[in-house]
Amino acid sequence: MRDFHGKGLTRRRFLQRMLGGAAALPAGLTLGGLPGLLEAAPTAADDYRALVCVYLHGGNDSFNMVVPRSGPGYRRYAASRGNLAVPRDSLLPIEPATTQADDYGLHPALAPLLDHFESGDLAVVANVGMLPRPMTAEEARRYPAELPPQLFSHSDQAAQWQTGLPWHSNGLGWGGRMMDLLQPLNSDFALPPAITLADESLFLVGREVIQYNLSPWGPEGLEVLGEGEDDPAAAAFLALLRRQRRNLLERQFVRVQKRAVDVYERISALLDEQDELQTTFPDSDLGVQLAMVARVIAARSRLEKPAGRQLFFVAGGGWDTHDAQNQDQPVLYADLAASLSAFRNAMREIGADDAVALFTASEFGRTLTSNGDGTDHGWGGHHLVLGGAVAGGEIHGEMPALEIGGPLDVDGGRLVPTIAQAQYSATLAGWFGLDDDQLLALFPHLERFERIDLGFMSA
Amino acid sequence: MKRLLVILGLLVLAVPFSAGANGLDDILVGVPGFGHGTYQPPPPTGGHKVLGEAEAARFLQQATFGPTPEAIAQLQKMGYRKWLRWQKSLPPTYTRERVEALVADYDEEDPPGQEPRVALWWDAVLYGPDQLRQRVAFALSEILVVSDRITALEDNPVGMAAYYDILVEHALGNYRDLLEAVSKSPAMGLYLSHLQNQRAWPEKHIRPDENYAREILQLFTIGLWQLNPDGTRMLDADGRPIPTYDQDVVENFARVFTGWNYADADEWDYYPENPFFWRPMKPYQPQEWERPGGYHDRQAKRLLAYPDPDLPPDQWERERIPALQQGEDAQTDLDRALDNIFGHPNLGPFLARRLIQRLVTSNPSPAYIRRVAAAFDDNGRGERGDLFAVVKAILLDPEARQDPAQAPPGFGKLREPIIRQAHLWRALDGRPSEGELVGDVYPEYNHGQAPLRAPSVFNFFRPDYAPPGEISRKGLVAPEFQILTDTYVTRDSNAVLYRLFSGYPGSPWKSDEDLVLHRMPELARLARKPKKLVDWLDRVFMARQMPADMRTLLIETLRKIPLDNDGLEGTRQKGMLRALVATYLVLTSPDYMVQK
Repeated sequence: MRDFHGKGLTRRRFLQRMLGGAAALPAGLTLGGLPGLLEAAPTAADDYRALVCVYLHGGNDSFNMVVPRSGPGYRRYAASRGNLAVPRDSLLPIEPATTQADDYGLHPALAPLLDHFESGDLAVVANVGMLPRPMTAEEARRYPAELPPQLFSHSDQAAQWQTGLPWHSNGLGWGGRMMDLLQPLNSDFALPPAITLADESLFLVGREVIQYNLSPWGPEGLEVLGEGEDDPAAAAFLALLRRQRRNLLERQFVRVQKRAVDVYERISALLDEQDELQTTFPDSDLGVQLAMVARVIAARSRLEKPAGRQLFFVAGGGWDTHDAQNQDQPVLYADLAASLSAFRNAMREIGADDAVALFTASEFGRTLTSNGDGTDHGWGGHHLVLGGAVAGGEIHGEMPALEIGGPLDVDGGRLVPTIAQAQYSATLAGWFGLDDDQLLALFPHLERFERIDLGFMSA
Repeated sequence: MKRLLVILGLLVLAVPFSAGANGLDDILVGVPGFGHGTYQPPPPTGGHKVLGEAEAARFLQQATFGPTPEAIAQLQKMGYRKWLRWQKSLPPTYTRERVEALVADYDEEDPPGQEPRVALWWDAVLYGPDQLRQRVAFALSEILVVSDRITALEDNPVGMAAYYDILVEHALGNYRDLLEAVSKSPAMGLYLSHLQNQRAWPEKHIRPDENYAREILQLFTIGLWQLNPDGTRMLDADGRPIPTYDQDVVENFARVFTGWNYADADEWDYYPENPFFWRPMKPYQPQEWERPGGYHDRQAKRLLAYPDPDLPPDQWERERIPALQQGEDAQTDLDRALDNIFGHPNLGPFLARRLIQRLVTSNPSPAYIRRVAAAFDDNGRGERGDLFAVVKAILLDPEARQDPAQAPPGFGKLREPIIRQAHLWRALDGRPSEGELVGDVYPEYNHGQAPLRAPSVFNFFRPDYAPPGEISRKGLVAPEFQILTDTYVTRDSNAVLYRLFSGYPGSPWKSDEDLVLHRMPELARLARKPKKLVDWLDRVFMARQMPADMRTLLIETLRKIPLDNDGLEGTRQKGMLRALVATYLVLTSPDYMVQK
C-alpha cells in the first residue's frame, strides 16, 4: 500500500497552517466552463447511469467465494483444495433462480451480501477469464500460441482485463474507449465522465475522454487558490491565466488549467453542499473509495442537468494470496462484502437503485490446488455484479467442476474460463448504452462467441 | 506493487532518520560518487564572441535538465560548439553499479522495488556533469521504451538501471550500437518478450513471439509509413501513403529474434537465481536432451524492402537473409537484421522528428527534420547513425536558435513534468540532507511521469498526440499534453508549492525526503528589490522570455507581500516569502510551462 495519501494530508495540513484557512475555492471564483460542455446536443442522455468497476488486485481466489455444498460436489472441492477448503457447515446457502449442477453457498465472511443475493440485486457470474475464443482445456493445452500472452503474469493479465483484449496492450482501456463512444450521451453532463479513486487506471484511458483522479478524501484543488482571490499570490496566478497570448501551446495550457479549476470547483461545491449519507461505509481502502463514489453519484442529482453516463474505477489490494490464505481471505471477503453492501444500501438511500451497477474485476482466478498455505495464479474465476438493474439472485453461466484433472483443468488446477471477459464486459457495456456494432469494435474477438449479452443486466 | 518501507523507504521517505539506527551508513559505504557527480573541470575557454545570457539559458533548456546561473555563465564563455564537445568528452554518469551496491543486502522477503533506481536517476540528472548525455538518454528512454510496470521487472532495479545505462552509454554514440545493446538487454527481452522466444514448433503449436519484432519496427526505428527525407509521408501514384512493412515482415523478424536467453541460462526455461539479473542476453546453446536443432530459427528470412523510385511499392525487393548451413547463428541473424533496419531510409527522419520533439519543439518544420535526418545519414565523415551529430544538428539548427519572439505560434514544447522538477532543484541548488538520496521516488504521483515507468510501450504520450481543439484543428501536435490531465495540472502545481515551502533553509515543513534549496537565501536577499528577483527568475527559468506585462504583474504582486515574511516560520531572512511566492508564480505560469 502506498503512503501518498498520508503525505497528501500532511501537505494539506501544512498548507492550512501556512495559509491559515481551508483549501477550498471560494464560491464565485469561476473561470467559465468549456465551450461545448454546456451546450445541449440532440443525442444527450435523458437518464443517468453509473457503472463502478471494483478491481481486486492480485487475483481473487473466487473458488472459495462461491462453494459447492452438496455431498459429492463439496467432497470434490474439499479434495482439490486440501487445507484451504472452507468448512462445509460454515457456508451460507444460496438458492439461485435456475438450477446448477450443484447446490452452492457463499464464503461465511460474505454474510453482508446474502441479503442482496436473496433480494435479487446480486448475481454471480461463473468462471470468467481472458479468452480469445471459446476453448476447451484440451485445446488450451494443445495450442499454447492461441492463449492470451503471459497468462499467469499479474501485470499482463491486469492490463488485458482493463483493455478488454486478450493480447498485448494497446494502451487504451475498454472503459475509456466505451466513454469515448458514449460522449454524445454526456454532452449535457457537467461532471467528469470517468473517475478513478485509485490513481491512474488503464481501464479509464480513452482516446478523448480524460480520467479524473478523485481522492477518497475529496477533490484536490490548487492550494494557491485556497486563500481566495484577494490573496496576492492567488490573484497573480489567476491574472497570468487571463493574459492574451499568441503561442498555441500556452493557450492550450491555459485551457487545461482553467478546466481543472472549473471541474474542481464544480465537484467540491456539489460535495460540500450535500447532506451526509445515512449509510455508513467501512473505514477500509475499498470502503472509503466506494463512499466517495456514492457521494458523487448522490451529488450529481443536484446538477441542473443530471442525465449522463459516469464510469468509476475503485481498487483494493491484497488478493494475491500465495501465503496465509486461510488467515487473509476471510478478512478480504469481510471487507469486500461490507463495502459492497454499504454501497448498495447507499444507492437505495438516494434512490439510484436501478441507475447504478457495480461489478468486480481481477486479473485471474487462482489454482484449485494448495501450495501449502495459499494458492497460485490461475485463469478462470467467478465475479460479482450488484445493482437494481442486475438480474440477481442468480448464478449466470455454468459453475465449473472443481476437480484436479477434471474437464476444465488445463494444468495444475488452473481452469479454462467458460465465459470470456469480453462477454462479461460487453453485457455491462450494452446496459450502459453501446450497441452491438460498438461492442464488436470494443471487443473484436466477441464475434467468435455465441452470445454477446449474457443476460445478467436488465435492459 | 510499490513497496514502501524498504531500504530507501526507511531512509528517505516519511520515517525520521536516526543516524546509525537503520544502517544508512552501512548501505552507503562503497557507493561510488554518492550524492554528487564526479566533477570534471571544464576546459579553458577560447577567444570568441561571448554568447548572450538569454541565448545560453535557452540553449541549456533544450540540452540539459535545466540551466543554473553557473551553467549559463559557463556556456556563455565557451560557446555552443566547444560546450558540446566538452559535454561529449565527459565520462558518462551511470547508475547500475550504485543501485547494485544499494540493494546488495536486501531481504528476500522484502524486495527493494525500484526506489533505489529512481533515487539514483535523480542523482544523475541533477548532479551529473554530463548533462547533454543525460538529457538525450532520457529522450531515448521515451522512444525505446522499457517500463518497470510489469511484474517481471518491478523488483529488479538493477536490470532496469542497466537498461538506462545502455541509453546513457550510447546517447551520443551510434544508433546501430544502441539498437544492438537494447535488443540484447534482458529488461527489453522481458518487456517485449523476445527473451526465451523460440522458433516455431508446429506439433506443440508454438510460433515465434512477434512483440519485439513489431515494436522495434513501429516504435524504435522506421514507423508504419514510408517517409520522405523531410519526414513527410511518401505517397504512391494514387496519392496514398505506403506502408513500410506488412504482417509477413513482422513474422520474419519474429523468427530473427529467436534463440536468445539469459546470459547464464543452463536450460531453456531457465529463471535466474539472482533476481537482479542485468547482463546482456546470449544465444542459447541447447543441451543434447533439449530441442533437436536448437531454439533459433535457421531458415531463410525476408526482411525490409527499401523504396525504389523506379518501381511501384509492391515490387520493391525485400532483403533476403539466406539460411545458414551450420553453427550458432542467432547473433549473425541479429546483426544482419539490425543492419537491414538501420539502413532503411526512414530511420533518419523518423528519429529526427522524435528527438527534436523531446528537446526543442513539438512541431518541427519538414526542412528542420530534413537537415537533422541528413546529419543522421552522414555525420560529415561518412558515418551513418552518429547521435552526437544528430543532437548537434538539432540544437544548432536555425529553427532551434531562431529568435523565439519571431517563431510561429506552434513553436516550442510543453516542458516535461519531471524535467521541470529537475530544473527547479538544479536552479535553486536543491540538495538532499547529508548522506541521503533524493526521496521523490514515485514522481508519477505528482507528475504522471517517472523514468522508465511508462504505462505501455507507447510511452507516457505519443509523438502524434494532438489535444482536441485548436491544436488538432491546425494540424499540429503537442505530445506532452497527453499527461496534462485535470489531476496532474493540479498536483504538479501543488508539488511546486510544497517543494518551495518545505525547501527553504530552516523550513519546519521539511521532511527527510525533501531537498533543501540552498539558493533561496540569495533570492530572498534579491527580493528586497522585487525587480532584481524577477530578473533573476526570468534569466534562469525563462531565458529572458518573460513578457513585460507579466514582469510588471509579478513586481506589483511582490510589493504587496511584506518583507518580514508575514509569520513564515523557520527563517529570519527578510524577503523569503517574496522569493518563494515569486518562484512559485513563475514556475506555474503558462509562459514558463511552454519551452520556446
